[in-house]
Formats: sequence, C-alpha cells, structure tokens
Amino acid sequence: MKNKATNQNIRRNAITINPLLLEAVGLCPVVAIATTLKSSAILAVITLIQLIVSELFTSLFLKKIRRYWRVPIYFILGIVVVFPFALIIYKSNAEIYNQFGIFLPLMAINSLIALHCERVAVKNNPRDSFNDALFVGLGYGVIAIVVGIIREVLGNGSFAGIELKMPLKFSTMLLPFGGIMLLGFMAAGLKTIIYKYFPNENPDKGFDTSEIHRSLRGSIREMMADDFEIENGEDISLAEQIKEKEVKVKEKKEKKKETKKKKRQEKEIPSTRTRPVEDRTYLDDFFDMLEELENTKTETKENADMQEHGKEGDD
Amino acid sequence: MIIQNLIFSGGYGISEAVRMSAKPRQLLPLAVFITYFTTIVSAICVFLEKIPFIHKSSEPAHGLIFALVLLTVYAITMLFVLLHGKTSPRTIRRIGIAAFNTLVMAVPFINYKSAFSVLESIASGIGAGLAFVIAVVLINEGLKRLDMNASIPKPFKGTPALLIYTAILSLAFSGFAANV
Repeated sequence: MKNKATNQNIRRNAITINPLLLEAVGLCPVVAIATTLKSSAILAVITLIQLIVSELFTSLFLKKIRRYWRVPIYFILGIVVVFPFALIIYKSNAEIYNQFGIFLPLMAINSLIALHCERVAVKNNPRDSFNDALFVGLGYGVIAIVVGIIREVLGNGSFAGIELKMPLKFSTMLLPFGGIMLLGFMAAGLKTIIYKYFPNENPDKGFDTSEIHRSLRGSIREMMADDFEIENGEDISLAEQIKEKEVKVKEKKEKKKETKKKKRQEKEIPSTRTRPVEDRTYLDDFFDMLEELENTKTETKENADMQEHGKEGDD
Repeated sequence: MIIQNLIFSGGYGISEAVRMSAKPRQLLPLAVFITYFTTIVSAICVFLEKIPFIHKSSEPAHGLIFALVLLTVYAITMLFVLLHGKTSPRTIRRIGIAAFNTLVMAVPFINYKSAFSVLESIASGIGAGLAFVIAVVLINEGLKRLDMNASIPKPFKGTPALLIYTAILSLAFSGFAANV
C-alpha cells in the first residue's frame, strides 16, 4: 500500500511540479537547443537516459557518501552518458552537430539531475527513484519536443526538415527569447489545468518565493560573519542565530542594570535621576547682578543729590 | 558583461540565475565562487590550448578536456576548504552549485571558438561572473515587483510571469549584442 501511495505522489509531482515550467530547472539546454524537432528529440532522449542512470546509481551506491563528493559524480555520469552520443553525432552528421554547437557537451551538466537526485534518490529506494526519474524525464521531454516543434514551425517555416509555405517567419523564436517566452505561456497553461483538475495541489511548491524581499545588504554581513557549526545535526539559519545573540546581549544588559540598582539601594546613594533639577540658571544670576548694580547706582545718585542739596540748602 | 551577457543573449546559466534570484541573501557568496571558477578554468584551458596535441584534437575531445579541468579545479578547492576546517556546510553547498554550472562550462568553449588570447580569456571569465550578478539582481528586482502586483491573473502568478519577464530582458540584451 505504501508503494502505491508513493508512486501516485511521485507521478503527481512530475506533472504538478513540472521541472521545466514550474521549478525553473534545466532551462539551459531547452532554451538554446530546442529549435528543431530533431534536436529537441535528441535532447529529450539524452536527458531521460541521464536521469534514470544517475538516480539509480545514487539510490544504489551513493547514499552514504558526503554531499560534496556526490556532485562531481553526477557530472562524471553525465559525461559517460553524453560523450558516446556526441561522438556518434559528430561522425555521422555534421549539420546537427553544428546546430548543437557548444551545447552537446554542456548537456552533461544539468541542474535538473543534481536537484532530483539530491531530493529523491538519496532518500528513497531504487524503485521509487526509478519511477521519479521516468516521469520527470517524460515531463521534461514532452515539453521540450513541443517547444521544438513550435519554434521550428514559426521560426524556420519547416517541420522536421520539410518546408511548409508559411507567409511569415519569426526569426526571434530561434533566439533564447522565444524559448523562454513559450515556456512562460506554457507554464500558465499548465497552471490552469492544475487548478481545474488537481484542486488540492499547490503548483507553487517547487519555487519558493518567501525570501524575495530580503535585501542584498544582509548577504554582505553574512559573508563577514563567523561561520556557525551544525547543532544537533541541523543547520540553524544565520538570521535566527543573530537574533539569539541579540537577545542574550539584551539580557546581559538588563542584569547589569538590576545589579547596579541593588547596590545603590544598599548604599543609599541617591540616583542621579531623582535629584531635583535646579530651576535657576546662569541668566537668573546675571539679572540679579544687574539689579544690584542699579540699586547701588541709585544710592550713589541720592547721596550725590543729598550732598548738593545739602550745600545749597543752607537757607 | 552588458553587451555580451552570456546568460541573457546565449541562455547559458538561466536556471541557476532564476533559482537564485528568489533567494537574494545567497547571491554574493555564489557570485564570488562563480567568478573564481570561470576565471581559473578559462585560464587553464587557454594555457592547455598551446600544447599542439590538444590543439589538433576534435571537438568532443575538447569537451572532455574542459570537463576534466573543471573536475580537478573543484577537487583542489574542496581539499583546501576541508583542510581549513572552519567552513560551514552552507559554503560547501554553494561551491558545489557554483562549480557545476552551464555558465562555467561555456566560457572555455567560447574562448576556444573565438580564439581569444590569454588576457582576453581571463577577462571573459571575469565578465561571465559579473554578468551572473547583473542578471540575478535584475531578475530579483522584477520578482519583487511582480510579487507586489495583485492584478496579475491567477495562472500567471509565480514562474510564468517571471519567465516572460526574463524573456523580455534577454531580448533587450541580445539587441545590445546585435545578434537579432
């Protein structure tokens, strides 16, 4: 019973979280190569084989190896799968090889494989990972072929090499612009289908947009900050660790304040804040001085008058 | 960087750029590692080209050689990092993502096809890393505004709108390069 449930989950995940359209993974080859039917078919086949081989290999042999040695092994497996194809195409057909250009060896690196292997193959048994690889590869391949057909018909005016008499040719469809645009609209179409037929599924699962509004300044601080070790086998995020540090610093400050208050109360030293503020300022002293001067002046004037009057007041 | 932005006009690192634009706080370390890898790999590949045995080999053999160079560079950096001992697992994950990238593999191929000299190839490597930074910053800004806009119809929210936005950006950059 468990196998059935996991199988259904995996199948659903391949459709509802389509890697190309809803997770934005593995876009590079599709955008650049899938300009004709032939090339997109070759791409689909190669990625399917690559996915199956690498997922089976990881679930069988690579579960106990550390992560940073697993990643180059995916690359080596990709080269092992892609290189024979590249040789065959190079020797038999020069046209298709020129069409591929740089991308035939670049198909060995595909972020799709690394992502799905790390997510699914490492944690599940070989059967489930084979199912996942099959359905994800099929989902990828189908969309790649559709994109290839549309781009060929609209861009070149041909279908699988046969020329159709189209009145218009959109040569921009052969650029990466056309590929990404098509993928965007197809993603919207897939979302409508999901909302209609799978109402319980959330198609935005694969693309996490919760951290968008964090600023880039935080990343500079993180680069300069100390590296934290793993605690209890979990990787605590840096933001939480910084918060914990701030909380601790605040607690320390509050403790210091409390100890200071206690000491003051014991020694009965009045705190600086409870002393009454003097109302008088230096200006008040200045005005007092002026008043005194005026009083002394009037006294001297009166004395002078008295003397004068005294002199004149002999009559 | 701007005129020949590899990500937009050639489509070499789009999936990494789109995925990383949703997590801006990981941008700077990743960008540093990517520039490091592109410059070193392109420099080594240019020096290897001067050996006549390698120069005369066919194209798939060139691909093998570039892949081997990338693997050795990754192994050497990982040895240094592990010997240092104090690195967090997050940086190790980032080195892994930065090393195995279509952008990093594409640079030596472009140098080989355009027959760049040593200095030009190193400059193209640095330019690829900076182009990644520019691409991620632009896409992140667009994502922020798309997220805040409530009048987008429901099926277009999330990845479809983002993909259409990057398509328009790539058209603009390919216009700069006069590739249309």
